[in-house]
Amino acid sequence: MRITTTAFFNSGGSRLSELQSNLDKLGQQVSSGRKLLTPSQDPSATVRALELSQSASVNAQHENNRQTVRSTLGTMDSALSGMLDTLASMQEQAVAAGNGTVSSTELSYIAQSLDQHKSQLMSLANSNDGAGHFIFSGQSATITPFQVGTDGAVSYMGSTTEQSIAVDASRDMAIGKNGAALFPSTNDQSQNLFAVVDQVVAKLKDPKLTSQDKQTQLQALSQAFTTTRNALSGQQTKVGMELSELEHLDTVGSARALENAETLASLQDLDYNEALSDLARQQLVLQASQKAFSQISNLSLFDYIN
Amino acid sequence: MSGVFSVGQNAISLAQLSVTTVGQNIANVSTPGYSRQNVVQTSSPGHGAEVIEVKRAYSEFLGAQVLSSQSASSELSAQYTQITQVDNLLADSAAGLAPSLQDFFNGLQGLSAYPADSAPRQTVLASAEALVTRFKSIDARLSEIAQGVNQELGSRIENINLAAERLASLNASIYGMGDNTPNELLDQRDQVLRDLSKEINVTISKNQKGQLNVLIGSGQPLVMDEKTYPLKVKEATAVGGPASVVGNFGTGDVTLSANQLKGGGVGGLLTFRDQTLDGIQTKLDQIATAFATGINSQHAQGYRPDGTSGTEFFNIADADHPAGSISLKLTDISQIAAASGVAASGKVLAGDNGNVKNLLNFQNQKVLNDGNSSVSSAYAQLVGEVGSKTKELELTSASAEKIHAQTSAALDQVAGVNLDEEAANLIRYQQAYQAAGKLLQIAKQMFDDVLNINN
Repeated sequence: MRITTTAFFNSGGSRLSELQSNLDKLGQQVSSGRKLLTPSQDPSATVRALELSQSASVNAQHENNRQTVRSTLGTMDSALSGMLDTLASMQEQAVAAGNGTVSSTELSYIAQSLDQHKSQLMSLANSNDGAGHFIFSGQSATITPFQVGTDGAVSYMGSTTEQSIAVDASRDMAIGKNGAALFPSTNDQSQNLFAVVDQVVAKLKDPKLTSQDKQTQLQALSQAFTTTRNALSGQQTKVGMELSELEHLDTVGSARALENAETLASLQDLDYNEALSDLARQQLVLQASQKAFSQISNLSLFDYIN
Repeated sequence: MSGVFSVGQNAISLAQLSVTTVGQNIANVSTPGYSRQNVVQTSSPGHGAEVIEVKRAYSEFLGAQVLSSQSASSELSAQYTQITQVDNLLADSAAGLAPSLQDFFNGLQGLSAYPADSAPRQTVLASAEALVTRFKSIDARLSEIAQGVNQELGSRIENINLAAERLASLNASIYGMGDNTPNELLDQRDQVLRDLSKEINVTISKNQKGQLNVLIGSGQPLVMDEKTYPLKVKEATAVGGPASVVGNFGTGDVTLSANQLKGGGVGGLLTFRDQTLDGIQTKLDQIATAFATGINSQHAQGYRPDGTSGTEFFNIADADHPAGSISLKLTDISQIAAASGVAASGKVLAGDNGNVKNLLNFQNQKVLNDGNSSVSSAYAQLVGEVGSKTKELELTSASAEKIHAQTSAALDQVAGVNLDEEAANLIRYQQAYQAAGKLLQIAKQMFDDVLNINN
């Protein structure tokens, strides 16, 4: 088989340049820390990596939302505790008023106290998340839920529809709850606690109040207390359950995020040990080829003709 | 006596020619396409030896194989070079479409907690603007690649035309030389043919006069019977559109299809542009269209803060180039329709995020690939397809290159120069020259002896 001079130099040259370009590619991988420099290196890994980063991004958003919800639920929990405490104080006042020996002046003071507690209750129900969004106004996030009208009565001005956000793939949680449900109707006249308190306060201030009347009023008040306390406790229990569910979702979410990150790393990141040893080996091969080429290319019959 | 002289004379001039031929081979060791030559001699009774011809070592069969392997290799490598540009474009995950799409939906998720607030609304508009810009920049890059193809097509066609002229003139010269074997001209002609097959498929045949007829592509005449048929490149009517190749074979201009221009760089470029690149552009356009129409239609079902219905979120100015003409149609944060209902007041509730959640659902809706892919997975698939095609071309072009290297080596074995071989021949013919010289010297001595008989 004839090896012509051109053939020898061509094949030597092209082999060296192939080795050079392999070395160059390894160098790029090492300096960028990435195994996958272009989609063509591993098309299915590239697609998988894109899908993983998409899913990581969605998970991160859900985590953000969980933080928002958790913070709001915390505010709700405090407000509900406050409201229950206020309710308990009002109950004590009612018991004091129910005493047979109490004078009409004292009744008047008790009435004032009840009225102040009612305002406190309203104020707690009108809590916001610190950024001006009311937590018990449903979707009417910027409208104060419980307002006193021109006729002096308290009305719920918020929305009965909750505002909720996604805390997981198919799970929404409320950051704006229906405030009206905290103060449900307590009698056959569809009056809530505020209305009943207003009524009782007015009657207690009346010096001509009969004992009979007083008992009727205080009974109505007691019924209102019970109904409202049940509603508030119920909501507080629900908040507690939601907080606990959030914790569980957080655990699952961060496990998922970790797994995503690990898979993504295994697809994209360079194994430095393997790469550096490859690099060393390729360099050796290149050097050996260069040496072989230079030795063989030096051989020429013309050196011996003289 | 004269016989010895004439034998000696012939021997010396033959040795001289042989040494000159060896010198020619040595001088042309690096000349591309040079076929080594050697003197073919025969004995001439009583007159020593005579030259039959200076023969060129070549193989028509191997030569034809080289032409075909060259055009196959060039075709694939032209496609590979082009598609790596797209592969690289989509490689940088930061520059791709996926992160911008994610940012847009992330912005919407942030809006769902505070649908009435300015800051989250601003974020949504900003990320929408960034997304639109990203669509356009990928589209622009694809157009640039297409334009690059058009330009390269132009320069390759020019090469084809130049080759045609050279072949026609070489044909005339070779034919004109008659019996004197024009080895160098034949070498040049074969080299031009090899260079031509880098651009396009080449088929050759001999006409009645023994000249070469050259057909290109699927059989279009390029050089026939001393006449050349050059090609032209015509710009597309639409701006940035594909250029076309036009030929004239005696009956007016006729546009040549990609099928007629098979093989070589030209064939590869046309295949890449009309099938591969066009396919990629179409998929990107489909993604842009599906995204814009999907978001728009959901947005229209929602309500703005002032209670009016949502209007178009994105606008596609040119239905033929959606990815390149997509833009953000909303101009103000008050135009984002976040709510899914209107309150009794005629305005929407500040916490009504119903439509935002519906817009977020679009992320998972399978609106592409016959209901199999969402917008982001369709994009991921596109990236995967480009990667696969690139990998395929990497492998096929490498293998075609290896085949071409083998056929070239086979031809080179027959026709190439080996310096050591020539060095050995040099010694051989030098010794022949010395021996012939000695013969002449002895012939002269013999004649001198005869002349000195009477002394």
